[in-house]
Amino acid sequence: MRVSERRSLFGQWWSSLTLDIYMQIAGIVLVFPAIFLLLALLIAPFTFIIWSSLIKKGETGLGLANYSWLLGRTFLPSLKNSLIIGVGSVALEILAAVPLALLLNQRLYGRGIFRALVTLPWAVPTISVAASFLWLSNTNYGLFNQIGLASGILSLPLAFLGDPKLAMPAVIVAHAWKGLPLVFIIIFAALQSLPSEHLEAAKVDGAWGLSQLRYIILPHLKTAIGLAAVLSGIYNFALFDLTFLLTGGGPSGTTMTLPMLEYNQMFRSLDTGRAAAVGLTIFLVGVLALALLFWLNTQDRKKRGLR
Amino acid sequence: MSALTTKETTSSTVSWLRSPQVKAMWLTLIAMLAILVITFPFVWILLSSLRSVENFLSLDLRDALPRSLDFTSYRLALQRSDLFLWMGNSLFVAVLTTCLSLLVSAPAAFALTRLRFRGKDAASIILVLSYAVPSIMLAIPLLVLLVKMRLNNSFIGLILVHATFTIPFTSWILQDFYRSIPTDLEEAGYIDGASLVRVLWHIILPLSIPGLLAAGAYSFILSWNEFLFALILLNSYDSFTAPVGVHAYFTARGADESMWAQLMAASVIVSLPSVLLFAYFQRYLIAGFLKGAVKG
Repeated sequence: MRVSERRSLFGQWWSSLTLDIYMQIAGIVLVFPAIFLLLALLIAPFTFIIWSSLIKKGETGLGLANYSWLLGRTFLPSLKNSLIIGVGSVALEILAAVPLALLLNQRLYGRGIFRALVTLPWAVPTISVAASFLWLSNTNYGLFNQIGLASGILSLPLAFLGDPKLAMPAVIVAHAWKGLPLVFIIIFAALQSLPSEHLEAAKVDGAWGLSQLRYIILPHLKTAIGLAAVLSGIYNFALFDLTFLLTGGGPSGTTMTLPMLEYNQMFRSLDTGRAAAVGLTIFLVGVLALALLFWLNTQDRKKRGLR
Repeated sequence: MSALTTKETTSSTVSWLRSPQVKAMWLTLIAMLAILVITFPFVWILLSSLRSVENFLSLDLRDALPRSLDFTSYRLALQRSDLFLWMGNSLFVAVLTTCLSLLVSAPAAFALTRLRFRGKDAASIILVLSYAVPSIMLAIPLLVLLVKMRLNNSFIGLILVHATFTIPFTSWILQDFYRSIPTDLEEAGYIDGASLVRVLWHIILPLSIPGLLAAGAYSFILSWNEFLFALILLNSYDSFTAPVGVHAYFTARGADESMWAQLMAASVIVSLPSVLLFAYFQRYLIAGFLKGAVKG
């Protein structure tokens, strides 16, 4: 049976080959173009960026000068700002996404349309997101100021993106808006995988409403929330466009992020070496965050296994 | 007697208020408010773009909503800037990026879901990792390399760079899609004596069309919306893509406050292709997550 199956599987031409060899060749041939293209476009830049991060501007020898510059006064504030944006926007996203997912998991009319609309910001180009936030927060004509002045909350119009104290919160909100769809989808998907028997059993045991949320739903969502937080956090941490378009790193450097610093080093200071060192740091922070998530999940699994 | 009837009516009113339909209505209302807040930034550029140019900068809150649909801002934005040219560039880049990434990721996704071969795990890992590399880190070395290859300020360079993030994405959607197609048809093909190439061409390809369309739509959106690489790699006015063109045009006229109306219209125009494609194909993305790897 198996022999005849194999014969027919390969047709006349291939009948002399074994299934394994055939699959091996076919697999490699089909995967090759995609992998080759990606490796060519990733490995070459990677090698280049590591190599150029070791060369100080104006010199030829290899050294760690660009990395020792990282310890100075320019780099650390940007690292702090990027971390604030990453952590702050993710906190907002999760605070919005969990209640939304719980709400849209209920029986209500037009659930499909609501779900589509929540994920809409993903498709809006960054340039339009930035235009919208710039217009809404405009000092003279923006809606936020108009409403604030008309309702008496504000006595003077605020320059949301031009004020050193307000610029960072405004940038965080914009990042959170753009990142909400991804976080929502991950959490919503996890919520849908919660077996309804668990909730039924909890009802029988007298767990309703908040205690259901606290003891059954949130523990079930823990892994998904962690994954969404790390993925979205890394993304917002490394995002260049939105900060560039909204504030350009200003006012007076209060929203200067690592991607902005890298861009300025490259195109204003024309210092490829320092830019490369900043770029590698951005990548390494992302890798560290992923490793942390992986470690936490393994610990969690071990703990549950021991019980 | 009368007390009894009153009690009955109240309890039936209470039970009606607690009925699933009424609860669903309340929840729908709350959901509508939440969605209004979430979609507001986009709704606002849409509403602003339709205001009349004369009272666009009016400080009266009553003028904030358009009284009638006024497309003057759209006409001005399209006439005065080179938006048509930039959209053409964007279209060219996005379509070719999409073709390239479908061409290489469809066979890869098929092999990764259907065939057993050595190197499969490595290939999957490369696909996942390449999606995790931040664009800003790649931007500088890719710029230097493309300058050396004389591919800077050319669409070929930009298309290749866009492929670094569309290929992992389309492969991911297509792998999910192939997992959802039953294997019966291909097996029937093999039993009838067809070779793998014939099965791929005559059975798998026709079945893949919905998956290819969805993956293609996403690849198109990613490439169309992309800003950073287009900003860095293209440096002549004629070769800008739509997002970079809009940025260049309006930052050059930043001090002129009458430009806001046109900027709103331009933002809507640039968003429309992505938003419409997304509206049509969003269920595929959500379905991918719902079936996918995330489990509690």
